[in-house]
Amino acid sequence: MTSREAAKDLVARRTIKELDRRCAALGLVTRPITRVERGRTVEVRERGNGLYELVFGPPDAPEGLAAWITEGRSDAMPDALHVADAKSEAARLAALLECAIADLAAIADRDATISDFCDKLSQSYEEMHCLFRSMRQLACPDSPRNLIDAVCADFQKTLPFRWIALAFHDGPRISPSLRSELIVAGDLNADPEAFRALAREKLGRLSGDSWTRTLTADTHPLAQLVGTDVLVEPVTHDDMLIGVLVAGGKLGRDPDISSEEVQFLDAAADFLGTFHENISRLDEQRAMTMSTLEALVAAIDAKDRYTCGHSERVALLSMMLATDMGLDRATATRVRLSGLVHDVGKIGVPEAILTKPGRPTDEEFAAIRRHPEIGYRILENITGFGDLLPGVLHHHERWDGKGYPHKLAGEDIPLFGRIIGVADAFDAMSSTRSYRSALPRERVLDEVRGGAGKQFDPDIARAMLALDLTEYDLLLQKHADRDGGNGEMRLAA
Amino acid sequence: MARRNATTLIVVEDEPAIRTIVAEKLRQAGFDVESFADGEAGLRAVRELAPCAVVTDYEMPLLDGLSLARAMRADAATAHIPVILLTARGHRLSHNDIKDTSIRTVVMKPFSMRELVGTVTELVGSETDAEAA
Repeated sequence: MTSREAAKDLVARRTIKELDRRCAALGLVTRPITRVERGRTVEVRERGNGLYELVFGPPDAPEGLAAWITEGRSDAMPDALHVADAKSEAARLAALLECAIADLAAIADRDATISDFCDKLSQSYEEMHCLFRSMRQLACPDSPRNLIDAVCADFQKTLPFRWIALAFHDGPRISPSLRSELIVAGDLNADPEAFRALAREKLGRLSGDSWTRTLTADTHPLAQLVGTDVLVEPVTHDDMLIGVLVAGGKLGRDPDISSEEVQFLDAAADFLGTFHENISRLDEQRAMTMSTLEALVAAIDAKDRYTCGHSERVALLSMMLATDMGLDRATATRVRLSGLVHDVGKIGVPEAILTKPGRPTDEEFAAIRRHPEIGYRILENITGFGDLLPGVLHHHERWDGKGYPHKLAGEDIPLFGRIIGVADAFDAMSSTRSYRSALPRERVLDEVRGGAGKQFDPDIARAMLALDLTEYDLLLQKHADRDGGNGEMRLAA
Repeated sequence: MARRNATTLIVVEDEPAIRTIVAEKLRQAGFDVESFADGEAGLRAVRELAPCAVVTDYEMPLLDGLSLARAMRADAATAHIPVILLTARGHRLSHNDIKDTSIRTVVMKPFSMRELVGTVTELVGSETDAEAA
């Protein structure tokens, strides 16, 4: 029963109660009748056998109310006077009733409007809240796919649709993490692959107002596939179509969509477009960071042919160590980057010292030992590199406190520094230097074993000994091949 | 009275999503629909196309829906074209506001597409009957 029907029912009940009271006062017995001819007002009719009946039928009884009009009957034998009294009283009653009915109907109408308004208001509130929730999540797009999954599920719960699907198109401008992705919330009731193919084929090229946003099941193949009418919203980034937000299987009383659902979906598509913009910016930023790092690494490599490839290999070992030690992916990635730039300070050490054959003098060693601090100063003002700095500054500290530059010991040495310290020493021993050639693997591992608890963090040394070095050896081989056994060509270039 | 195109409808709405969908729904109901994003463009089109009815938003750039309906009323060529005004509930329109306009029906936002199409179809149908009579 709708709120409006409920209100009418209430009006009818109140009216009948009042009618019964008045009739009882007149000595009339009342019983409900099922039908009253419209237009009849008041009538007292003789039914024979001394029975009279009183019929009320307000001419403008609202639709639905007529069935409730009461018929009254008196068993008492009325004389002419009584009949006249009854007639005039009944006429007065009928007039009163008409007023009462009009008032009650107006109130009921207003109640229905208010209740309808409240329903719409609470739906609007839910929708607004849903968008706010989504917007709050924009700030931390660590895993774009997970976030979009959650946001779409939220959209679907808020809107009266059986399913909502987000199909990203393919293209160079679309973030690699979202390219060609299909996200479905709710029960699509169709093969997702077929859906994605149709979305790309039928909704992949148009833009702006040339869009058909309402696809009907009897004409459009996409709507045919899912078996319901669907609503389509373009998701754009700088006016370029990057995907479509599709909703189908309208639920609720009204089988057709309403303006607020259209508006919500429009806002949701805007939100997703903005989200994609953020993801793309982040992608760009990451790419830029990487190219900055690569430029720095190329600068170190160009300076010292013996360390060529060293940064990359230390980066690889550091990341493998971090992963094996149970650090999360994001941290392991940062350890890798820190490893990549750990020797950047060598840019500030004279080339003659770096490439000098044989052992350096004490003075030259002092110059070499300044490289962690020089590296720190080079990187400290680059935005976004802050967490890489401890690895750069402290990769020459020793577990026993005899390292440099700060002579830190044990766990006072930042984790990145301890990890890169092991990786750096391992790679240095495994490759040819200006003052000696590469040591055999067994010898290197012995050094690591022997250095645990002295030069190295024992836990990290243990992880180093247990590492699968296949990938590292491939990289080592690649670097050796590239340089043809010496760095002359690279230096000349 | 100027001859009117019996199936041509004009939709004026600045929100693209609503404009597109209202136009599509009315097209599916059998009308030839032309849509515009502001009141001035809408008014020019009304004068040019002589549609059977106009569905217009209230708040719009350049010329709002009420002014559009007033301008239509003031021009003998367009005075008899019925206007359906879409408006947010917040706008309390009085009888006075609507008095000198061609507005026949006010539809409150949010509205169901089905209701809107029903309202337009009914209004156009009754206008056609009245003209024939």
